[in-house]
Amino acid sequence: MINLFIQSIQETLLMVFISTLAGIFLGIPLSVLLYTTDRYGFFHNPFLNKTVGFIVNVIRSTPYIILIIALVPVTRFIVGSAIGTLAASVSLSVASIMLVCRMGEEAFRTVPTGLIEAAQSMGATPLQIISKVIIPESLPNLIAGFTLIVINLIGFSAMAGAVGGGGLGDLAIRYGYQHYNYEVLSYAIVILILLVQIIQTTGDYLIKKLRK
Amino acid sequence: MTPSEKKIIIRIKNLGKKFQLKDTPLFAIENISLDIEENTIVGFIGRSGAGKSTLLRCVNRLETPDTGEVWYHNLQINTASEKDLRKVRHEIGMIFQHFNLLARRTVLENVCLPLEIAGKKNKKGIRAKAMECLQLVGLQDHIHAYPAELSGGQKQRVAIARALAGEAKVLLCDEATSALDPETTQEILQLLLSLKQKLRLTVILITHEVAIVKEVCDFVYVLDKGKIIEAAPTEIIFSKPQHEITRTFVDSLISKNVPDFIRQNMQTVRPSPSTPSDVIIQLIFSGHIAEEPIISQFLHQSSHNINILAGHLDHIGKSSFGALIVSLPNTSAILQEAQTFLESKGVQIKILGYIPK
Repeated sequence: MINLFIQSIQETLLMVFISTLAGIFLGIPLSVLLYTTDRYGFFHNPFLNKTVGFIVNVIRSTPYIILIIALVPVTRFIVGSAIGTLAASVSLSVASIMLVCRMGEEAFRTVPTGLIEAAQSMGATPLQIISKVIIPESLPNLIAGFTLIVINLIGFSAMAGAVGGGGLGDLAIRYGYQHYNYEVLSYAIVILILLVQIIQTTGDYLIKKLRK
Repeated sequence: MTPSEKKIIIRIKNLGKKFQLKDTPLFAIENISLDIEENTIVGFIGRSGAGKSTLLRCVNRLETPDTGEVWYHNLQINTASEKDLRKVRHEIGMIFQHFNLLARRTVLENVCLPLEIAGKKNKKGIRAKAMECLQLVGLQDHIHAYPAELSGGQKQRVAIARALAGEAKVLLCDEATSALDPETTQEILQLLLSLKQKLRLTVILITHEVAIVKEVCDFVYVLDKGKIIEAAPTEIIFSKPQHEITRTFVDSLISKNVPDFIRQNMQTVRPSPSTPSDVIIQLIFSGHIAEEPIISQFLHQSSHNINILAGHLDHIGKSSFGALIVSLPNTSAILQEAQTFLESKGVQIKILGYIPK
């Protein structure tokens, strides 16, 4: 049983880790794209902005459990199978990217336009403005957003058990719900609570350190 | 320096910019032409909406003009390539009303920013240069503080150091002292004056406060509704304002000096000559005249008593500018005599009101 728990925790952590990385490396660039192609952005491009914005909204408004099923063909294409922890990570990553995308855009908007103008007046390129002003200045807000998103992803990962993704949620459903094993169910819940607590506390600590 | 030696650093020709409002275009600035000389402090004054901010922002192309030209030395800024523009922006620093410092960078790191942007790689070199600039503005003791820990004046000093870090030749000041208290404003203005001297800096500032222009500017442009309505060296603007709006600005500075007890008893309608009264006159001295003993000359010449109620003498650049408020017996003959004498000396006279006895 202990081994089962350890394996489940590993699976949950793996899914959350992969999807968080996807959020950082694909979601943040996408939010930069949305931010910079906006009406006041320096790559003002209504077509691109509206198109990407629309896609993000469509995916975001799809309930996650439906998204898993809808993405089965994509998952098969990427990992070769629609079942398993890696397969679940695909849909989880897509959900993560969409969440990060809007969160990032909102965080960037909190940077006062005056700072951007100041950087422009120093002769900064748009890339320099993004890398030296917008991202660093919105970092506390980004971390706050990420904390929420990672916690969300842990919740989603429990649903991913539905497609054989494994993880703590899957454990709780199979042993706790289907086998009436309330002990396993309780432990799974306690571990999930602990996980969320750790993430929230770490996030809060980082934000406190970053805010000046 | 004789006028022929002076070099033009910024040249603006027929500059125009309009903003599209709902249905009518609003001309933010219209047909503005001017030359700015190197190593001078030039002020643009106007009420809000006069277009001064747009004009300033056209100089470093934060705003692109619709018509006209902006030249920095031999580079036409308004048509320059992005690359040339970025390069010239290293030479044109800018400071803002709300400082615009990066909250998550320390003072030193803020000043390093323009150097990083300019592509300097040597971290030690960048820090040394930034330190040098911070010393120049007197903030060498606060380099590791964050902007939130500084006072407004200190923040603006950091902003100035940051604007100058890239070896700026020109400093654009966008209402740079409007968020500061009078004392701090004075400190910042003194700093600008000393930087002009030390670095041979050219400063272009916009403000709605006439006191600031008077304090530091060599040359003043008065803007209204997007147009330059008056342009002259500062002492001329203050001693001989031509346009109504300029006069309002200048008066706002002087009327502060009319003592309350006079203001309270003063009436603007002239009492009939049969009731004895005094007339309150403001005498405006300007330039070299202020060094002449005009009042004592008048007393020698005239048999009447002149009562000095209030006075204020100021220096604009090297010439002095002053206003005296005096009272004289209100009779036509005396008034005529005073007017003739004083005007012959180049003193401007303005009747402020009358005080019945």
